[in-house]
Amino acid sequence: MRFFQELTKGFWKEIPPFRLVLGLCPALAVSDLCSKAIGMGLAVTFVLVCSNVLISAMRNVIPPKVRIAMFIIIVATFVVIVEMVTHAFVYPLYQQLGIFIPLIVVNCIPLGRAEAFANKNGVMLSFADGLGLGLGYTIALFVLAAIREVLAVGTIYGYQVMASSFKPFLFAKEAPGAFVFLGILLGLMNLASSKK
Amino acid sequence: MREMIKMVVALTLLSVISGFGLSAMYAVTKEPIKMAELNQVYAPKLKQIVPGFDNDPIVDTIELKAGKDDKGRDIIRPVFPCKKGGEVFAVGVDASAGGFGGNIKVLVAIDVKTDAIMDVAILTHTETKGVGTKQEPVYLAAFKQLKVADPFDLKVNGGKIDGMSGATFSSKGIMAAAKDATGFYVKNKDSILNSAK
Repeated sequence: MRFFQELTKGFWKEIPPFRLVLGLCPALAVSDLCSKAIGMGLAVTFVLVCSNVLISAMRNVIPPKVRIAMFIIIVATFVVIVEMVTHAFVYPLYQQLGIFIPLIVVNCIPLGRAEAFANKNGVMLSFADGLGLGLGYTIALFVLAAIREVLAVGTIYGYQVMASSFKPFLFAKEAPGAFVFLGILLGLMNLASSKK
Repeated sequence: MREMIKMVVALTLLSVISGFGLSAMYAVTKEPIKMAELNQVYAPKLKQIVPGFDNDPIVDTIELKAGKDDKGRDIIRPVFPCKKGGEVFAVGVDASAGGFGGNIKVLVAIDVKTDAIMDVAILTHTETKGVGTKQEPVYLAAFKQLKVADPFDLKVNGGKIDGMSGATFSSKGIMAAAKDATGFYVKNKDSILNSAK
């Protein structure tokens, strides 16, 4: 049951970017549209799962003194693979995400999980950890993006949900709006868990 | 000492494996990436600025040598011939130039009979979103029917064309790219038409 625990902790207990306040920069930048948020979330999930599995499989042969450098090589390799694959096969998404795909390399989530989890746990558990946190990140981005997209464009994932008389609230689309809505969500989450 | 060797070996091995893996991935995705750009960016824009061609300019692309880069390798520039009934009536030439936030890539359609610009379209850019968006169609329309042989330029550079207010750098970038494309066309018109047949 440990597997299941490691998988589900990413959905609420340790959901990035809210609980582990990591990976904020891309979270703010790509959460203006749901389609971008999901694409970014899945890209991060792929990198997290692959790097977690590989690092945990290699944890006994990685010399401790150079582990960070080796983690970065592994993470960077998978990020470049993601970048090339999206460029080749999902071009519109590649154009929308732009610089934020290569920036996954310096995103603290994959590196953080490598150091804090995959380096100390078995392959299956690391797989669950990567998948859980990656999907949690996707969910978090989607929720933030849904709120911003509804307010700024009146749609969710491109589907019209607001009446045509709806006046777009453009602040939600801009970077400051991203901070405000991230803050509100973070506050609500803390409120919800403090009552337990 | 043993620990040191272990570190060096581990890092070297990992880098080599990663390098080989990535170069394999590059080889696999190279063609799809090129095709994705041509089909998703170039093809729709060509359709928009050149009315009524019945061939596939992406398939018929002509590749011409345009000098050498600083490492001595040939620079290959694509030209997209647009045909109607098997005859070339227009070509699309791309070029890029620096704008405000990076390179602006434009596609210029040139009528081969009149040697005039049919239309200009932006392929990719990294300019500030929203700035100049409203004047963009007006600015791009100003290129229509300009003769490629006659010099044309922005008013700020002593020419006759109005730029986009508030987006001077973008206007200049688009202008420079358009000039580059027409210049390339003027220089290579014969070889373009010969290889398009």
